[in-house]
Amino acid sequence: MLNLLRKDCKELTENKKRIFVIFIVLIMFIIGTNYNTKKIEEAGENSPVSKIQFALADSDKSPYSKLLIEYFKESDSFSSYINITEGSEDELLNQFHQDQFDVYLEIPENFANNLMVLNHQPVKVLINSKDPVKAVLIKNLLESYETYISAVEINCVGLYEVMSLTGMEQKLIDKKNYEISLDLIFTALGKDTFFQYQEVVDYPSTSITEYYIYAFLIMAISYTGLYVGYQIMKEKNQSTFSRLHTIGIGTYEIVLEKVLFSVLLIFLLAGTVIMIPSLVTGNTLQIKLMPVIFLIVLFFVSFAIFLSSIFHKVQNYMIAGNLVFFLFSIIGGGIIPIMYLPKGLAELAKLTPNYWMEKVCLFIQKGIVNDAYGRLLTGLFICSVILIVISIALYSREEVRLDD
Amino acid sequence: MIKLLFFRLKLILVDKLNIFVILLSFALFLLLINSLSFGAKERSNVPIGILDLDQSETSKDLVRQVKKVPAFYVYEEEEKELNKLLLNEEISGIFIINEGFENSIKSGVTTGVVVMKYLEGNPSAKVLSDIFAGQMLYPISLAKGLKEYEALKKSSMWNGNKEIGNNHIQYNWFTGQEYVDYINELSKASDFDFAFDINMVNTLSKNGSTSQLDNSAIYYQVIAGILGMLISFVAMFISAGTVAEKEQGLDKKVEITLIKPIYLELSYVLALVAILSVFAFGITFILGNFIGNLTLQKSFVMFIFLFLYSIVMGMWFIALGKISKKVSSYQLLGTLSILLFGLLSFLSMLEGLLHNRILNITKIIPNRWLIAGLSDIVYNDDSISIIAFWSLLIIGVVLVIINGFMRKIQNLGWRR
Repeated sequence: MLNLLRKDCKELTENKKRIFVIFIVLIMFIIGTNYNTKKIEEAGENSPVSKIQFALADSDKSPYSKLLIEYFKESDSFSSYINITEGSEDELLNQFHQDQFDVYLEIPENFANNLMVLNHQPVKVLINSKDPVKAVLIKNLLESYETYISAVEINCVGLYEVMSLTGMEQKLIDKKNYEISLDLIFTALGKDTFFQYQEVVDYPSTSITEYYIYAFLIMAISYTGLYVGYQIMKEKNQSTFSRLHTIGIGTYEIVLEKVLFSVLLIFLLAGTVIMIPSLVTGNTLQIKLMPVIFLIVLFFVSFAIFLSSIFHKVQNYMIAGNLVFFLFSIIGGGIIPIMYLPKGLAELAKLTPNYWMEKVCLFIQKGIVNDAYGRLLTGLFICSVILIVISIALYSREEVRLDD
Repeated sequence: MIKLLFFRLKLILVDKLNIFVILLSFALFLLLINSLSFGAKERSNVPIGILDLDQSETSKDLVRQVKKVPAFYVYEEEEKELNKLLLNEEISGIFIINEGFENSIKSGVTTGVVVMKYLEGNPSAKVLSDIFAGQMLYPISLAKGLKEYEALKKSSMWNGNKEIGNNHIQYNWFTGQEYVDYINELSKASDFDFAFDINMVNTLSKNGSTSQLDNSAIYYQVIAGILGMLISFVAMFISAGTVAEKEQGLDKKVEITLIKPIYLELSYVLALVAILSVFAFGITFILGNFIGNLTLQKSFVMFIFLFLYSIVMGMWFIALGKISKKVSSYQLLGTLSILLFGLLSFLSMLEGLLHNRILNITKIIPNRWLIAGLSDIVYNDDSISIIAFWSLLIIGVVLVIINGFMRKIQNLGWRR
């Protein structure tokens, strides 16, 4: 086995092209993860989310409308995702059509007064549909504000009418209407006080960049595993196995050596990709991530070797392997993040190893080690052992078949 | 040339693996489009959890109202289960309606009546609470109005309040329940259905045409993204023949006959075009059945888009085949490129929300323009975004030029 390992090491170091490709991929990964880690850090200071550019034409110019605009401009929660630009109707509309704003809203003349006497004037809103995702989010946000206006309006008018029906003096009704309108408007504006916000500390939400670093790493490991299966198949087709048998090396030794060599090599590369950005940025490296990465590598290598033991033709193996890993990747959250998968698809995703690997990696990244960690490690190890045993059995049987 | 084309077609179609991949892609697409478009609107919503600890009429009504909000998909579970969903990021936040919610609101206390739990650093937490608060405002305003009215009644009846004025007038006071019923009845009147006059404007279209996007737009984009990857997969397998011929040394044998290399390649491209046009037609048919109100004109434009995209990807894989010596390495490279393109195209959907210049790279990815083009066809009433069409066409032309250039280099190398 040691001799076989030495042979593979020698082969690797002699193949300059392969080493060059490995280095290039490694450097690309390191630059990519480093860049993204820095981005995540910067995100702590400056939000990575781009603000919604909101154009507001206030034709009402009443104290109410001015009050509302000032409130929104000064509100921390609102200004964190919306950037308001005030201006004249024509100027802003022109700029909106030149793609400079995401939303254009026009408060009509006498809007506040008309609202109180139930005279609904249309409030013109234009949403830029160039980016459908953003447009849909803005639409949802504005629709939620419709309920604010309706709730305030119904209750202002309601009290006004009930007071009239009770037979109160008009002067008092007007006074109370003014008071309740102001009270309800400020209640609506102070909506943040309705809530006790409980941020689940030490349990950060996953950022898209962070998610894709792991998704891409898992995909890369799975396809490198596929390449290992291809290599072992190539050796089988070149009768390397038969030659090794003649010098007394058994199939199990050849397969085990291939698993050991490739797992160590891929783990070394994957570990470097994870470690270097942590060392550069000074972030604490999640040591618990290493066993997971190691077992992910072991699982994919074993799975690919298992597939290679089923097929006789390299082309068939490549098609099957490509299809299986492709499906694992797209269904298992490699493309659409698992948090955004629709329920039906999320259930399907749970059947793929990629889903659990991504999940556990993200948990560890956040510093959380729960039951899933132990379960994943045990599951990956047991599956890998079973796959290796079956592969050895299938490869040994094939040797007999070829000898016959 | 025509004989060559038919020969190529025969070669591709007799390969059982090719047929298997095409049929599998169709089946997979049907499965995905079915699971994605089934209730796409509901599933496009933000999932949240609600825990009603008060169990009063007001709190139950609030839960009912929140469930009607189109932006939310509500999970009502035990606290333990909701916490688990939150930590797994299957829901974006938990709203816990505290015990005594109804009493607090009725007494005019609105501070901290609902607990909102969210994960650290979740940028959407405030937006979610804003939407939730919209539904809380009606019971709060109702309670405030009633409190004001009751105060007037009380002071008039017991103190002869100066504010109310003439004590000799017989007032027709409403009871608390009558007041609530009156306001509730009023809220049903259409006069109070305040709504913004919202219009979606496509600023990229020359006439600024309008369209009505809804939540399902996000999932139709995802469907377009997955479709792009499946078409690429089919194109990759069909184009694998060029590499297989090279691997087996067939291309060199054919070159001994006096057939020009360009004819050889053209016959392959045309065979690819013929097969992919049938594939694109099949996909258009499936999409037509899933998307309502698709006119014949839109279906035709959709077919052209899918067809153009298929050809562009076909050209990409032919170029990839030229740099691969073996089918296996071609397939490995091809699949990695499909995944990379897929990933970048999904990131391009979030381009408007994320600050990242690196996302500009997605402009050279054909999948991005397929998603943009298909979304425009489905949602724009009177205009189709020309930008997506031209971008795809330009990428296609660039790939044709690259292919031609690579063919020349290979021919030179062979002659030497």
